[in-house]
This record gives sequence, C-alpha cells and structure tokens, in this order.
Amino acid sequence: MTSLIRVIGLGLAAAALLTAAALTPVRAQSSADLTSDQLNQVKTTCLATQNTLRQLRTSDALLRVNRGQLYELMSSKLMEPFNTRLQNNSVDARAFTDTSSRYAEALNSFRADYQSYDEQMSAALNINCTGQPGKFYDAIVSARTKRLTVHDDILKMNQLINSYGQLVQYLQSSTNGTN
Amino acid sequence: MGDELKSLDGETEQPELELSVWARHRYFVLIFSTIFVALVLVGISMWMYYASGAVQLDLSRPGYSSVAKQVTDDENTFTVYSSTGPVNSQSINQFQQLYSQQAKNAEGVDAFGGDPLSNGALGLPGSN
Repeated sequence: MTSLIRVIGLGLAAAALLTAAALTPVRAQSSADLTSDQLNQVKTTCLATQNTLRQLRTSDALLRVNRGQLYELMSSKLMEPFNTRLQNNSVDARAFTDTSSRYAEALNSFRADYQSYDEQMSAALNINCTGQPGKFYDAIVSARTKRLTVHDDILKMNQLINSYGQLVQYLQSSTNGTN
Repeated sequence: MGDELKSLDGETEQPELELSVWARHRYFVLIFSTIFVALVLVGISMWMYYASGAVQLDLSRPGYSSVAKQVTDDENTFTVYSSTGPVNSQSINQFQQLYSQQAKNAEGVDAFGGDPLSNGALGLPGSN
C-alpha cells in the first residue's frame, strides 16, 4: 500500500514537472548561442528575411490601425456611455467602471507595446545584416518577444471585453428578476 | 543744432547716419532667423509625430500605400450607445445586442497571434 502511494506520488511529481516544463516558455535564443555555421546561414538568408520582415511590418501596421480603432471604439462608444447611463440612473456601476478602466489601461499598454515592437522591427530592418548577422539575429529575437507582448495585450483586452459582457448579462438577469 | 551743418552755398546738410550692425544686416538676420525658427518647429513636430505613436497609425507613409485602402471605416459605422435614458430590460437588451456584435468582431481575429517571427518562419537557424 505504501509503495503504491509512493508510485502514485512519484507519478504525480513527474507529471507536474513535465507540465511545468511544457508551460515554461522556451528561452529566447541569442546570437551568442549560434555556431559560426549558423551565423553564416543568417548572413546568407538575411536579405530575404529582411524582405519578409518588411512585409510583416506593413501587414501589422494595418492590423494595428484596424484593431486599435475597434478596441478604442468599444471603450468610447459602448462602455463609457453605458457606464454614464448607469450612473445617471443611480445604478451601482462600480464593477462596470472598474472593468472599463482596466480595459483602458490595457488599451494604453497595447499602444505603447506596439510602438516598442514597431521601433524594434525598424531597428532590425536598419541593421546591415550581411555585415552584422549576430546583431540582426538578436534584433529579431527582441522583436519576437515584443510581438508576443502585443499579443498578450490583445488577449487581456479580449478577456476584459468578455468580463464586461458578463457584467451586462448579470445586470440584465437581475433587472428581469426585479421586473 | 550741432548735428546740422551748413554747406558753402548755405543749404543745411544731414550728417551721414552711422548704421548699427543689426541695421546693416537686418535682412540677412531676418531671413536666417525665420529659417531657424521654421527648422526648430519642424523638429518639434517630427519629434511629436514619432513620440506620440502617430507614425504607426500613418499609413500614408511610403511603403504602406498598398494597405492604406484596407483600413476599415469603423469610426463612422460603429453605433454609439446613448448615455442618456432609462436603465431597464429593453435598454440593456439593446446594449447587449450592440456590444456582443462588436465583441465578436474583436475576439474573432487572433491579432498578433501565431509566430511569423519564429526562426522556422523566417528561415533562420536555431529553435526559436
């Protein structure tokens, strides 16, 4: 019996370790980890890579404008007027205002993080990649991390949009209950 | 009285006025100070353009004209919810309809997701 518990315990510990390993993000590799052959590979392909980066930067700029506009309008044309209406009618709107202010903060982070990402992409494109392949590689690693941060901001805003929607749903059901 | 001189034929002559450095070069100074002020103002505007993040929203820049036409006109098509009026089942329902439609639009696209900057996608060596 004791050995069975020990086996189960060891199994659980191993599963926990494996899960933790799977969830831990892969450490961003830097140019210092590359062999000279790999650096040569970067040097050989870097002009094509810069072309791909240029196209990505253009499509991301469009995404930034369209998504940014939508996220901003969600706040200024829906959340804020609804909060004001609740307050005008003396309805307890604390949860709503709290969620919308957290949303506004996330929107500000999105703007700042996108700016930082775009500047990093610009830096990567301005590097003489055939002369400095290591520096170019590091610039891409940094841009990758910054793009992930922008994606996290998007996820956070989506989550807050969802939370706000649930609050409205709750208000609707409680209003139906009182009517 | 002392400044006025009488010539031989008796007419009064005005003495030649000594011009100051400013007076002698006033056009030169005016033109260059105008250019200097213009340059400073352009410098400040460019700094504001970059620092405020407006540059990222400006798709009229060279290289972005191909996507500029794809900008959606949400500003004019987005329905505004009125901040005045009662809060009742009907008004909340109206809000919910507007909200869920836009929420679906927002959540429908996995913006900046995926990993187009991965080593694999860019043909670079190393495992990300």
